[in-house]
Amino acid sequence: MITLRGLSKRYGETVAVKDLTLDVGEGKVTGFLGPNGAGKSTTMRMILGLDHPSRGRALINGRPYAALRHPVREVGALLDAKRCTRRGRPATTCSPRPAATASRRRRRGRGAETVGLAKAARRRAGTYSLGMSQRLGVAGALLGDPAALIFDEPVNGLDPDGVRWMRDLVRAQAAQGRTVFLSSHLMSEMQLTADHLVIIGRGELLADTSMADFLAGSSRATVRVRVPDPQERAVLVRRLAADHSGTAGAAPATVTVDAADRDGIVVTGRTARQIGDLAHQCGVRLHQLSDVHVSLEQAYMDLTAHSVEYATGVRHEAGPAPHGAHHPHRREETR
Amino acid sequence: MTAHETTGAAAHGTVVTPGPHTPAPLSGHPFGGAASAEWTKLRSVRFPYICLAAGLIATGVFTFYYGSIARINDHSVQPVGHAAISSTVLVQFAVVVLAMLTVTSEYTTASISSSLLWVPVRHRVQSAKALVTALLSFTAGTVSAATGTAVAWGSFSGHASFDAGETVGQTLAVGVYYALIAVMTVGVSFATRHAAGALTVLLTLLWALPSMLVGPGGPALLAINDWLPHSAGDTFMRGGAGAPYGATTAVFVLLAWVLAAHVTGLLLLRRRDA
Repeated sequence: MITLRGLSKRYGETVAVKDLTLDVGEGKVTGFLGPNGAGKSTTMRMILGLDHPSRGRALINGRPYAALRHPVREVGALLDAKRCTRRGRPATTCSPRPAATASRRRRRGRGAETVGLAKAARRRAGTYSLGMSQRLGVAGALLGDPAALIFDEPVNGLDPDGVRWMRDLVRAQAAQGRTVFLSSHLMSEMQLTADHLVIIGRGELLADTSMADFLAGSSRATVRVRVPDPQERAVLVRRLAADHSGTAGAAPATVTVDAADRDGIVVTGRTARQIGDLAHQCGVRLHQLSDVHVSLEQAYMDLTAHSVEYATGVRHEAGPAPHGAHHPHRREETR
Repeated sequence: MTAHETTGAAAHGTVVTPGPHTPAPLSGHPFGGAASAEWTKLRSVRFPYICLAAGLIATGVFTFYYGSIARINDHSVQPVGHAAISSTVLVQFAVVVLAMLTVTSEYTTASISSSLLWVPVRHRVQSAKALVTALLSFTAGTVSAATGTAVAWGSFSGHASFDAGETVGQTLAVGVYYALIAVMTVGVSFATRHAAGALTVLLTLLWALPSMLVGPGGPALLAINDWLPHSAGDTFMRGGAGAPYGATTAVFVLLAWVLAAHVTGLLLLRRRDA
């Protein structure tokens, strides 16, 4: 369990991280997202005791990193590629760490195998490619068999095979009950990997929510409805606009005529079930009623684009689309 | 945490088996691990071997010439150990470079982050580096002093005296001096973080400043020189000859320099972001 309480970092006038309060729980992969310069790496470095917070605390199992007796056995960290051991050969120096144990030799052999470096274990680490360095960094992080993993941009520089390997690895680690906290820019990859999301922008917390909730609560969570009859369609649109019984409380449904299909409408703020029930009540014949899958990328872009407005509104739950949300790519909008 | 949050994991087809993850208990003080880590890092790279070889060769060449010049100029008989002691004015920089690189190379490659992850307690990292380089420098110093003494004995050819107790004492004293120089260098290197800065400070302190003070001469400048680290070391190694204070005071003068460098390095290391 990683706990941040009012964590702040300021470099002179610049505020890199501002008052972050969150928990990174066990047994799941927590994705850490944010634009470049949002403060992700700084936050991770503060958790790891490399940078000193200006205010607030970062705790691992209730203690600051520097107070851990055997930190490598509690937290495995992967910072930027090429930042980990560059010198020496992994086979001999994969464990330049405190607390040598009898099983050390066996464990580092296993480490090299886990990360797929067994063949290259006798080579000098300085000669490694970016992907190999990344794997070596992971081996170093796993060496102490830690309960928490903190990876900064772990898939950077990895080939598709490596990306998949990394995904399986972190998911397996989380499934074993470990805390996994990883940052990435690759949204599609994060959508496949993370269970929980922490999003920051300009050092401030924008969202701290489960992946499912984040996607469901996104303003893009929409339903596509095809109504062949224009009059019936008009009836349905009117009823949707008037109906205030949706999950989103008082928020009215947003109905848009599908640009690609004259028969179709796209509804935001109502579930497919609600629309289906409503259509049944009005006796409207439907040809299609389907959820439009949102990608994390879209949801993330929406969030960060409005980061200033969202800064206080979406702290712990990804709420519904705000009333004035404007989607320029949708042609017509009715209420 | 709450039930619905595990759906993400379920959707990925993995089974979450939460439970306490208890690592096996470890014995031993963390400092032992930190020191052994420093030793592993030191012995697995190339530069220490180069520094040690360079130091040994330089000692051999220096002591050979020292003995030869004493013979050619028909100097009065002196203890044979003086050759090796005099070589420290040059060879100490092999120790400086070695100890400096253990710190600055980690800043160059940013692997200092890894070091501080493995050993987050700052004074422990610095002390482990200081201890490991000091032990290595002590060994290297005694070996090179013994070698230099043997070489000089040949080239003195009769212009030197040999007393077993004195020679052993002087040989060990060179080792102690190098060990203290190593600790001082580690402190300065943590303060400057970069090789250029550390070398500037140490070259000035150990070589440039003494040269500038001794060159023009004069009682005031020479008096200042007496309190600089290499003068204090020289006095200590020669058993108190040639300075206004004895060998014991010389050790304390040297220790004061070492402590000042160590504490400065530690304070900066603690305060700064890695």
